[in-house]
Amino acid sequence: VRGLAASIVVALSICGAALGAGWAIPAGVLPPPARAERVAADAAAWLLRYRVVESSLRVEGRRVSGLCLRGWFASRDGVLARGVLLVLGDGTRILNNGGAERMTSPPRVRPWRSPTLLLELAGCPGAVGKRLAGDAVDGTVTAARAFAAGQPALALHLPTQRHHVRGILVRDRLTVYVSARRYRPLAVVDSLGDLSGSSRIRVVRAGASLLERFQAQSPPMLGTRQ
Amino acid sequence: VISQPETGRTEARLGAAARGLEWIQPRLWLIGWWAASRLIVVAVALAIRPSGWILGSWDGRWYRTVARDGYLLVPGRQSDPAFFPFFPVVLRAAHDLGLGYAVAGPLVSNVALLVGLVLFEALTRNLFRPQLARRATIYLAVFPLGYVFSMTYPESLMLVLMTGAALAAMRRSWWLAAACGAAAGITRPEGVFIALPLGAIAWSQRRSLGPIERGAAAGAVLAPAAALASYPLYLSHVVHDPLAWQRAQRAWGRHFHALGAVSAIEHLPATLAHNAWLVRDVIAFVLYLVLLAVAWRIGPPLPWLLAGLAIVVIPVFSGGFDSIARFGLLVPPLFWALAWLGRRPRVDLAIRIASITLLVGGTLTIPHVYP
Repeated sequence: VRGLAASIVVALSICGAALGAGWAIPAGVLPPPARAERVAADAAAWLLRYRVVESSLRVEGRRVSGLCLRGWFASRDGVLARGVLLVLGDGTRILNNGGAERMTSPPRVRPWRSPTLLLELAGCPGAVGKRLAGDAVDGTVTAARAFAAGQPALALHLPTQRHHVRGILVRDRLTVYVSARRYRPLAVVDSLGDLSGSSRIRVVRAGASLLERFQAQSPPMLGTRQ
Repeated sequence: VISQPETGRTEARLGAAARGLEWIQPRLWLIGWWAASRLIVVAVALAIRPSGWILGSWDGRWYRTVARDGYLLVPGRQSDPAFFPFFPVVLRAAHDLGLGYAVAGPLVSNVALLVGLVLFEALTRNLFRPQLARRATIYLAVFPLGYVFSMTYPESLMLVLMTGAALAAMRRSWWLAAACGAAAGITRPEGVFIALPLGAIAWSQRRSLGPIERGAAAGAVLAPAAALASYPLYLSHVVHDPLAWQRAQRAWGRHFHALGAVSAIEHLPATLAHNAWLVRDVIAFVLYLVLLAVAWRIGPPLPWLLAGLAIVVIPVFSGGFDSIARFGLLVPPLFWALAWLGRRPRVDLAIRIASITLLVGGTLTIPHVYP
């Protein structure tokens, strides 16, 4: 019996040592993720998980509301492709699926100069969420304390990207503000060439009524696949 | 005039050198095959892209990221918790010794392969005749997918740990077997299957072991699973999500479920239409099953076959055949079966020529398809 007890103690000790070493060796050798990367990853998770973002934008001297949905949309050739649809309060619709942006404005609305800027300011998951996620993985995002949407926040500065605006290649400057505790996206400040703007954003669950609202607003663009 | 202690030291050094030579001489053929096969891979890799170092590509980038920056889970996107931590730990250690990450990965892999081949040959010699062990080791060195052994991938290290654990167990060094088994458990998920051969070896030695050794043997059998279980604990600590590995795997399209194999076969035509390179993995899967059947005939211990079968078949339950060709590198019975088939000189020569040709071809595919 004493021999059996000794065997069991030794076996359990080895198991405990393997479990402990398996945790302690990586914890001791590998660095923890940088805070900015963690915050950016969590902020991206908010945007990508919720799929819908409500926003209030100030851009090109105008104020407008926005509602952005990430989902499957019919492309020009009728094939469903994953993308984002932004519907603005003035009736403008911007669809980006498969890389190209399509903007349609009601007749009496002055056309917006850059759909890219609007998609970023509206916090569209496919634009801002994917970019935050990519920059988090690449370790290129930086964070700083800030104050946004009336509360303590963190400002996530993303590395610049180049975009075509009316045939000219310009750099953007995107900053996403997230809540200081749960890293929920709150606001966006963005500039693209000589254009700039800011917005307040709020992630929203994609419930049935909201999807129906989208369907009603944009029947030719919206697909049914989730 | 040499003083007395210095003479003693010189004699000791000469003795060590003589012992080293004695150890190396019968293994010169193995070192030669290792060097030749690695030369082929490195030369072809440099010929493809003289300005770039493709041996660090694909998953190598992720392992380097983990070694340099640690883990970060990005939900819904490919992120690094999909990669087990022991290989990045070794890369980090090599980097701390002054090596750049780009060099450290292939260097660690190539050196580990040499150690792995020595251990594999010794293990095979313990189970079969020396001629079969020699052929199996050569086939492993020049195996078509063996270019992975020179890349920033953990397969070489896994080979060392799996064969090292089994060999240590056979030689009754159960503490060493436990250490190797535990390290294998946090190098790749397949590491847990080394518990099957270790269990069989422990069972065969049960009557001749004292209580402490028996406990050590039982501990060694359980160590890979215990170490594997430590990874979710570590992820829980560092990314605050114990299921980060599974979530990251999903972003690569891997999701284990009971009907995963059915789904993999059902979607195969569509997947092949989208990614023709997958033919390689499907052919490898069928070939590995055939070789495991051949291995069964030549009679290695059954737990080795079961471990091999698990390594080849279980990934299919994630819904696809991706990378199964590479996973076969960690299945010793495949090489024992090939070595048995190569017992006739003509077949042996054919296997060597075909393997080397395919090794060159495989290395050429690195820029186009992940292994």
